[in-house]
Amino acid sequence: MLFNSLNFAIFFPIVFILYWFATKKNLRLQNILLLVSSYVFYASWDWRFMFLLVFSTFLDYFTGIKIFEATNNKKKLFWLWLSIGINLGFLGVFKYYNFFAASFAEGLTQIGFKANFGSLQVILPVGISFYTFHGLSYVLDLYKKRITPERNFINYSVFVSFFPLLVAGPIERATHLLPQVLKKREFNYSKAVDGLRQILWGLFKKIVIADNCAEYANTIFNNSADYSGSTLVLGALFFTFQIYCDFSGYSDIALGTARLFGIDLLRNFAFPYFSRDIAEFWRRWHISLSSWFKDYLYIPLGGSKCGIWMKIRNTFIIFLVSGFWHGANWTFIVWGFLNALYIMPSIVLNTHRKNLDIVAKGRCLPTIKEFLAVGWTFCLTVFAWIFFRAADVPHAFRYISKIFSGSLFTFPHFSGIGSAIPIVFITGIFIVIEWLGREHQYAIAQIGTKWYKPVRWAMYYSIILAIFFFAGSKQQFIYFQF
Amino acid sequence: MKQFITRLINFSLIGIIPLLAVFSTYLYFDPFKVLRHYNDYSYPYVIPNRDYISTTMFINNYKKNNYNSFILGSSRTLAFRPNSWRVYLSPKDTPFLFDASNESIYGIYTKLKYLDLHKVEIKNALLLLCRDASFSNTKNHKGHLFIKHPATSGEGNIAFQFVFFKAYLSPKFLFNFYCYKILGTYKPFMVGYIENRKITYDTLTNEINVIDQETEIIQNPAEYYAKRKNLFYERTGEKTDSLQRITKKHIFMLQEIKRILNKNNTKYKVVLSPLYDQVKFNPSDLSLLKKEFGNNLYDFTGKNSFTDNITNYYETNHFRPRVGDRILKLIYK
Repeated sequence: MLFNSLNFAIFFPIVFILYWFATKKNLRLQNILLLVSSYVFYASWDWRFMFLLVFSTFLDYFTGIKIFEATNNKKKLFWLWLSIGINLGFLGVFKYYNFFAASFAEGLTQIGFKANFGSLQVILPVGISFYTFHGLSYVLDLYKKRITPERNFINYSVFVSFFPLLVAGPIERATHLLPQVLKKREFNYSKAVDGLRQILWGLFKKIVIADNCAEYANTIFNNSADYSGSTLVLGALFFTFQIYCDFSGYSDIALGTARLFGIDLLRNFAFPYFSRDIAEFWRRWHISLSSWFKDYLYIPLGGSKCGIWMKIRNTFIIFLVSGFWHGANWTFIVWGFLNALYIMPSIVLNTHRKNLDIVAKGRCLPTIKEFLAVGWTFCLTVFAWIFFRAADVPHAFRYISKIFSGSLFTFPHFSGIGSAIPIVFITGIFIVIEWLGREHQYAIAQIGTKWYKPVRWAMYYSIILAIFFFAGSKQQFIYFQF
Repeated sequence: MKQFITRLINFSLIGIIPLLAVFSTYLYFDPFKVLRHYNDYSYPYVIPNRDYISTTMFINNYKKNNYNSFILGSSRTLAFRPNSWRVYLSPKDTPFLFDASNESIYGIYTKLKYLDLHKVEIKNALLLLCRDASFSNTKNHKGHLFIKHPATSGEGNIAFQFVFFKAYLSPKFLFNFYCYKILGTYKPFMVGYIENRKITYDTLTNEINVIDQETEIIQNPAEYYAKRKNLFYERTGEKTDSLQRITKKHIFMLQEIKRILNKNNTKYKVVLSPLYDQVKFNPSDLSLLKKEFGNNLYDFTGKNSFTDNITNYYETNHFRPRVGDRILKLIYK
C-alpha cells in the first residue's frame, strides 16, 4: 500500500476514525488497533513476509528481556549476539546472498577457479532493513542499559511495526518512540493540522517533483550512451531531486501521519541540499540512519575519541557500511566510499562540526561565501549520486567520462525535453519554497500560518491542484528497495 | 477533535463543490466518448482515444461480424484499409482495423493476447511497426489519448476513466473545449485538443477515412502541398537510426506475438512503415525483427519510391491509403 495510492486514502481515514472514536482513548485499544492496522498495511505488500516481521519482533522482544535479566555479562553478550546474528542473518540471506555469491564466484574466476553458488530467487521483503535496525537499536540500548525492556508484547510490536515508519523509516529508537507508545495520547488540534500540512507537502514532493524527475532521470540514465555530456548533467540533476523528494517526501508523509495519531517521529531530513560541507550534509540527510550508524557503530568503534588514524578508519567503515546498507551492489559501496573521501578533509582538519546551524539563519539571502560553499557541496553530492543511480560501476564511469567530454558545452537534448520544461520550472519554485522554510521542520511548516484563512486555504488548494495536474507517473518509493 | 473534523469537512466541501460542477458538465458532454455507448464514433470534434474506439467497436460488433483478420498498429494504419486488404484474403474473411494512436509493441501484444484469450480466430494479421513509435514503450501509456482500453490492458476501469476526467480538468482543455462549444467552429489555437478534420470510422471494419484531406489532395494537390510547404521539411537523403530501440522487454513481447500467431496458424505480414524522415531502421533492431519474423517482415523504411514522393503523405507523420494499397500489392504478390 503506497502512501500515494487510493488504497491508503481509504485505509488511513478508517484507521484514524477508529483510533480516536472507537477506542474511546483507551491506550490499550489504541495500541491494539495500531498493531492490527500496521500488520494489514504490511500484509498488503506481501502477506508471505509477515512471518519475518512477526518473528523478528518476537526475537528482539524475547532477547531483550533475556539481556535485561541476565545475571552476568557473558550471558548478556550471548543473548545480544543471538539477536544480532539472527537479525543480520535474515538481512544477509534476503538482501545480500546473491551479491556475495556472485562476487565470490567472480573473485574465484579471476584466480583461475570456476565456481557457481547459485542464486536465491527471492524478492526482498519490504522494509526489512528498517525494522531490523529498529529491533537492533532496542537490544543494543538494553545491553547498554539505556532502557528497560518492554514486557507488553503488543506495545513492543507497535514500536517495531507502527505503519507510518514500517517500510521506509525513519529508523526510530526505543528511547524516543517507546515512551510515546506507552503514554496516553490525547488529540491535539494544532498537531493534527500540522500533520496534515506535512502530508500535503510530502505528497507534493513525491508526486510532482520526484515522480516527474524520475521519468527524465530514467530516460537519460538508461540511454546515457546516446546523450551529450550536458544532457547527462541534467540527468544527474533530475536524479538528485528525484531521490531527495522521493525519500524526504515519504518521510514527510510518515511524520505527518504519525502526528495525526499523536505520535512524533524522528526528523529524517533537514534541507540537506543547503549544506555548506559534506559533514553538514550528512547531519541533514537521512538523519535517523546517520545517527544510528554513529551511535551503534562509529562510537563503539572508538568514534573520534581516539587517534586520527582510528578516526579515519572509523569514518571509512561507517560510510562503506552505510553504502552497503542501501543495497547489494558495488555502486552503493563506491557511493559510500566517495562520501567518506569527501568528508575526510574536515575529519583530518577537525572542521566537521563547523556548520551546525542552518545556512543564513535569520537572513533572506546567504553571503557569497555561503553560496559558494552550498553550491560546491551540492555539486559533490550530485556527482556521488551518479554512482548511486547507475546500473553498475562501469556504467557510472562511462556516464562520468561522457560528462567530461566536449559535448558538455552543447545544449542538452533528450526525448521528452519539451515536457520537462514545466517540471524544471516547478522544481525551481520548490527550491525557493524550501529555502524560505529552511529554518523549520519542513518547508511549509510556517508559511502562511498567520495568513487569513481564505488565503491560507487557497495555498493548500493550489498545492492540491498542482499535485493533480502535474502528477508524474506513479513510481515506487526508492527506499522501499532498501 | 470536533473543530478538526468540521474544518476538514468545510475544506473538503469548498474544494469539492466546484469539482462536482465541472464533473456534471463532463458527464453531460462526455467529450471523449468514453462514458456512454455509441454505435458510431465518426466525426469526433474532440481528438479521441483511438485504442478505446477500436477496442469498443470490436467488443460491440465481434459477435455479429465474426472478425478473423486484423490490422494492428498506430494511426498510420489508416493507410491500410480493411476493404483494400479484403482483396488478398479469402472471401469469407472479415477484416477489422484494430489500431490505436501511437500504438506500441505493448499495445499490439496486449491486443493479440486479448484475442487469443477470448478464443477469437486470428486467421490473418497485418502488423504495422513504426521506427519512431512501436518501441518507445514497454507498458501502458498514461495520457488520455494513448491509454489502453481496460479490456486489453487488464487495468482498472475506474483508473482508466479517471485519466479522461483528469484530461478534461486540464485548464488548456477546458479553455479550448468551451471556446469550440461557444464559437461552434475550429480555430487554429485549438490544435491538439479539437479535431479539425472530418473523420469517419466504418461501423463494420473500423476503417478510418480522413474525408476532407483526401478530397482536398485529389481536387487540387498543388494547392494542398503549397499550403503545407513549411510542414514538409527538406530531407538530406537516407540516414540510419543509430539508436537501438528494441530492449529485452520488447523482445519478450515480440516473441509472445510470434507465439500467439503461430499458435493460431495465422497468416501474417509485418510491415515497417515508410516514414517521411527516410531514416532506416537500426540494423541491430532490424536483424532482431528478421530473426523473429523471417520472410514475413517487409522493410519500407529509408529512401525509396514511397518515401521520395511527398504526395504520398498527408503531413510528415501519416501516409495516404494509396501507399497502403501499393504495399499490400507488393507483399501479397
